[in-house]
Amino acid sequence: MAEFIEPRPTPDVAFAAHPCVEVAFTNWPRQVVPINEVPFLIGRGSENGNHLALDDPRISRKCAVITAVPGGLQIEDRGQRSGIFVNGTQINRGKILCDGDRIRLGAEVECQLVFRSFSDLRASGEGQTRLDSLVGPRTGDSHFELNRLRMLLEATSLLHSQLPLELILATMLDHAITITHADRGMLLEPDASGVMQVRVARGRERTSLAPETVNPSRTVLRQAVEQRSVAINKDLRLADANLQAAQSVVLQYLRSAVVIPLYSVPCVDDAAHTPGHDELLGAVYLDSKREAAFSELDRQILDALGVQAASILDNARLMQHERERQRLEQELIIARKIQQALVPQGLQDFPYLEITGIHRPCYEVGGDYFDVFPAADGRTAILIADVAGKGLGAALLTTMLQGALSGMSLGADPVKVFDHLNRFLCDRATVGRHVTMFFGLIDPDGTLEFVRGGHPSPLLLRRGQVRELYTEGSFPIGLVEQAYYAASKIRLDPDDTLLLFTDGATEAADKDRNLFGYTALVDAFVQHANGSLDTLLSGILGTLERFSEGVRQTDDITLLLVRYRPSAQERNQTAMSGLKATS
Amino acid sequence: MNITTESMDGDITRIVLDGRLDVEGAAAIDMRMNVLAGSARHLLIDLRHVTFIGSMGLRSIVIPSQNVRRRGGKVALYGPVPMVEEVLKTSRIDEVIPTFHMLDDAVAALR
Repeated sequence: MAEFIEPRPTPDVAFAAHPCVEVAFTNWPRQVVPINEVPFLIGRGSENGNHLALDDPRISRKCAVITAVPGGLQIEDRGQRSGIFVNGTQINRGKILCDGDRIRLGAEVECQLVFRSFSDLRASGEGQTRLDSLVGPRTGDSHFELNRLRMLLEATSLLHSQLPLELILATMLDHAITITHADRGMLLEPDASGVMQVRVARGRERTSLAPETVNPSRTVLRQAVEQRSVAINKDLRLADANLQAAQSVVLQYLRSAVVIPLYSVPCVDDAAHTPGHDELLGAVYLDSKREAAFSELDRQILDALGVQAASILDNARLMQHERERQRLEQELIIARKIQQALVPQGLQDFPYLEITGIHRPCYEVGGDYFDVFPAADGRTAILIADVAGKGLGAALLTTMLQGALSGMSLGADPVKVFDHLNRFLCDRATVGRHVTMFFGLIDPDGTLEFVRGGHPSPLLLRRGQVRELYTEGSFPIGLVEQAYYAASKIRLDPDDTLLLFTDGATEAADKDRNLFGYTALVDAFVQHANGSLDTLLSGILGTLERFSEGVRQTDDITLLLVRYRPSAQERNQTAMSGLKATS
Repeated sequence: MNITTESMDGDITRIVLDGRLDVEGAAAIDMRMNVLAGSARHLLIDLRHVTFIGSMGLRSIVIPSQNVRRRGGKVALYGPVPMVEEVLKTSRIDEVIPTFHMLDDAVAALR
């Protein structure tokens, strides 16, 4: 894993242990100054020989001095207005400093220094000492690191709850900020064009930042993504012109940043996975007002953080997909309810006809449907339709068809409606579906006028014998623009029974992929004919189910049974009109 | 579902289909069929090894055929098994696209 460092002169002194003071003034960039010589003078302005020159009117020119004494380094007050305080207690004479002591200069709590007993530092070639990294002595402090890892695990465990995704990501960032002592944290995700966009941004103390205002360093982001590993930038002032130009007070004080790119954890059994091609999920971006805030000492922590954050993001996405799937499922349930609500109601209420039917889609919604409705001229319309394909796409078309065909209840000519629908669907070939349909109008006198559109002939059961209404073919609706349609007529006798079906019935398969077939359907129809229509329907369905023995069917099954059964009065009327016609 | 092609004399592209032309079979050949329909002059669709055809399968033969004819080309169907032929007749596609059981007849119709 390579670390990114801005180009700079090679240091001639590498690492040396030195005590130092950390300037921790509020609203100042965090700054660390090594104590290279003693006495080490602290005060306003460097012209007074101060080693640590603090340009702040609240600091006296001769403020304090650090000297070496037998017990270590000692701080003495040189005349700071309102005195010098160590860990909240004013010093009268010298006070020996311990690691982490907080030194307050004067009455203002904002003006504080933190004493560090040693640190790693580098000196530049020009002799200017420059401290690159200081985060405090962490190595070997297992409690500290364990605590960090505990926080990471806690963040991960949030996934098992049902918290909103944004909250999980924000919590993960809060942990990352705590772990790294960063001032801000962001989670970025690539958008559709691959540009990293800030999804969540957080500040210290669990504050939420507006993603559009945080303006992360694109340079460091790009480095991390290009080298596919953690990129640390120690001084953003050298990296990003846009940060220098930024007007925001916060941005002006940002000094260092770390970017941890997050990659999906490949599945062990993922055969398609190619090493080095893990999907880039996003990046964690942390920045700080301190220079070199993210030292090399943090590398293991950063790696652990990266792994944890990636798995959090990965899991969060899986969870999101799962929720999306559930949402789609919910939508399908709604679609199914709508489709069921469109099934004709009150089939038992039609005069001179007994009617029953079933629509059994193989998926949540289906491409088959049947309908029965009164036509304008006193006849009763019956129809069965089968849209090519299955599922939601086919179901959408069935609802359109049902709407279009219901127009026939207002007296439209069915042949014209078929022609119109054929043109409509051929003109919209990208719909990618056509329909087979049988449409019939039954007169109270038993005359059945029908139009066929590539649909298998209904079966007519008359006195124990089954026959087809037609054997010649017809054009499906919406397949070829040359298609034309015509109406035919037959006369039904009382107690004649029609079985309208879709090919899902004849093509129901058993476990060996044998098809139920036309002959078996005819046999089942005849076999169960001596009863009510409901008995007949359940008899046919039972035969189908025994044949397929629980094999999941791959097509919708729709059956509609219509029995012509005029009342005595209707028969008399029919007979009378017949006499008139022949006389 | 398999699809293979070969060029024949007379600017004819022979498409050999093999398998079940159900919803999945149709989806498997649709893209290829549309590409062929966009480039071939005349199409000979060899159906001898198609064991089943559903309505989406019918569509994946008819729509590309119509496209070839719209560009002035000819299309012939060759060798449907009884099940497939039954579907072609039920939907009267055999009236729109000539269907043959002898290869020579099919080729002659395309010339």
